[in-house]
Amino acid sequence: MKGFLVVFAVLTASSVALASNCQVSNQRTYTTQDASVLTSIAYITEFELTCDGKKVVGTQLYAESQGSILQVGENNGNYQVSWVEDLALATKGDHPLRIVDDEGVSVVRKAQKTGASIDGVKPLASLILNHPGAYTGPWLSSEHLAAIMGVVVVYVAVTSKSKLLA
Amino acid sequence: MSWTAGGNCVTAVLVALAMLMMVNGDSSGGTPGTLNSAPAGEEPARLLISKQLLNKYVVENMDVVIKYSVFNVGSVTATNVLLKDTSFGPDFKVVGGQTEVNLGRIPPTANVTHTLVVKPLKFGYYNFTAAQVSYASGDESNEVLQGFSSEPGEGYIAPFREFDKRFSPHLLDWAAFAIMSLPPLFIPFMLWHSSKSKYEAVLSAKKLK
Repeated sequence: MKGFLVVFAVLTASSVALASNCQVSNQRTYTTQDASVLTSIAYITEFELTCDGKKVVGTQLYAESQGSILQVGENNGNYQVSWVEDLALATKGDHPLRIVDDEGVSVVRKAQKTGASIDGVKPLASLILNHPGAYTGPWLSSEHLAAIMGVVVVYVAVTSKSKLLA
Repeated sequence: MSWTAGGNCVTAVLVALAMLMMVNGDSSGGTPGTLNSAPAGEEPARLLISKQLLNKYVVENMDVVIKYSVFNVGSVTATNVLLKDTSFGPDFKVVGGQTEVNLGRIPPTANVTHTLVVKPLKFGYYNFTAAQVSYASGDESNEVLQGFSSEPGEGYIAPFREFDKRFSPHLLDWAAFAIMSLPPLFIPFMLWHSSKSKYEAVLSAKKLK
């Protein structure tokens, strides 16, 4: 019982510590922008989190994005949120991510179960992952364009010839 | 969004493959079923890992998207899940994501995905091998379990020149073709135009008379 209380106190203290002033630093975002060889778009953002002047290391974090919860990977304080999206479903522009800890994610899950709004859940930090869009190949292939131009030239030639003969 | 596994046939096939390929054992060489940490009758955490390349073509110096999906099919939470992919040597450049990542805890029946983007620096045949995952079953277990992902297998990394030759819009080639096809069109047109204007001049002179 005593051990449980100690664990509970430590967990509470750590979550209180995290829930206070947290800031994201060193954010690096990578999204695939040439999709001509891909079947899916990758959205990746890496960041470091500092809470009350201390770099957060070894804490399980989650990212909430449009109602979906993603587990955040970590390598020595360097956190990574990533997902892939099918080319047809991939959305460009800003993707807001709300970073929460174990406590925050349970609140989000509870709110989702009861159908309550999750906007009231205060995240540890918020990020924006921007995807400017991906190149999926030319809109009109050059051989088709050349064929269209050929047809136009033939049309002009034939109409002017028939005009002359008329 | 594709972090939910449901309804994805490809993923299902890969999971089955991962199941076949998974090597699972503790540090002492015992089988996962004999772990001390799992209560009697309860299966310990068992992770299935799939490694997929989300590319139509793998081309030199172009993005290769690798998606790792980790499923916990056991009935205990997997803890300290460490995914490590050492298969990309100096012939690849990591442009997005991490090759070594701690995914933390994965509850039973849950799945977690991780994404990595690399660029091959060389072309030719390359054997995409498995990633390694180490984890513990439950919070109190000190035994480290090892798992391997499915292997995408050998694939051909096409040279960029070859890819470009086949799939680029060839704008320069078509521009050259347009320039080359101009004289046979333009010269007869000019000949016709000059004779036409000469004929019209004669006609208009006759009319004036």
